[in-house]
Amino acid sequence: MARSSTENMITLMSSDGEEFMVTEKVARECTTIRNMLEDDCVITNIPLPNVTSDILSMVIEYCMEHVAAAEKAAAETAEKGSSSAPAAAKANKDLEEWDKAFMNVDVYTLCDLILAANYLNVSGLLDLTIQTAANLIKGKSPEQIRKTFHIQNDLSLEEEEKIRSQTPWAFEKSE
Amino acid sequence: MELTDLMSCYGEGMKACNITDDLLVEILVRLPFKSLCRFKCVSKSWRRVISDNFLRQRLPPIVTGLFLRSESAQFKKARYAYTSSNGTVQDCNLNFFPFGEKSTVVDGANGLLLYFSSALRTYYVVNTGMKLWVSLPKAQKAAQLSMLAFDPYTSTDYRVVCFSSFTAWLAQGAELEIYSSKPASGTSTK
Repeated sequence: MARSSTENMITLMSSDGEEFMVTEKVARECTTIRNMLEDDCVITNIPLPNVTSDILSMVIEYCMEHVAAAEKAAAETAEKGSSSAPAAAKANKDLEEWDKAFMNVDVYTLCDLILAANYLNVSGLLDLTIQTAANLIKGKSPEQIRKTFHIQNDLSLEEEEKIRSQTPWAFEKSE
Repeated sequence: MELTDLMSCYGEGMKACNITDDLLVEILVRLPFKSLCRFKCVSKSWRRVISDNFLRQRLPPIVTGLFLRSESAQFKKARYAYTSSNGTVQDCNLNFFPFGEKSTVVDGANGLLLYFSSALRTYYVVNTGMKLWVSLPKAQKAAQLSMLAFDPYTSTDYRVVCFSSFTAWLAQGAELEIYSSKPASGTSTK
């Protein structure tokens, strides 16, 4: 049962049948997959019926970037004996910038990424996507929210008026 | 992310965001309170998710009053004080309640106090804000544990739950007496 130091490859299969070969280390970023691997260590092919290929490729891209950043930081620490604070801060900043650029997606991709991050249990990606969604909607009006997410307003005029009258200050223009 | 671009390139009938309620909650809990109040009128399902209860759990608990009992001769009586909106504490005189000295406070909830007089085997519910009180029907059995449940956000009703035969709790369960009524309105004996 001992894991070899050479990297095991795992095949992840998307809902539309596309196969993605990733290292076990990258796959383990997904807690859902890590749990599967720990239950059965000979597993090499994992079907993911809830995730489409375009979204799965993005999740893998995120995991690879974060694994690479963690490996780089570990290597630097091992080399110098201790991590230098400015270098670590810069690495963190770079990764944050990368995350920010990675989140430059439309709202539907964002929603799909949230669902995939939740299903695969990638905590870093879930936090990133949820926060991005929160930042996106925070200053919007109810009308803009409905437009953005294509939500039908099923409240009657009276019901809507009642909500507005409960907290009129929440509907004032200034944020 | 450009919202304007987004709206122009997604027309009617395009796929919608099928985000689940629990994930929507995860997003909503990161929003300012003001946004939450506003988003209640997005749709019925958003109104349901951002329920009053949900909003209340998001707010930090605020002390609205405090109850204290001092053993010194000067302050033999129990005292109740309010915190007011300007940050000061205001003393509330409990003299309107005649059984204050002959009974003890057993519980309190959101502005109501539950007193019990062991001599008269009677419970009293006291509304400190309205200065009203009621006595409950005499207890049938000696209670080991009595609690007052009152939450004005949910209902203007309160309940007093008294557990008796508490020692046999695990083996046989407990007997309870429950008093329920509309608060201090018609039944006040002031």
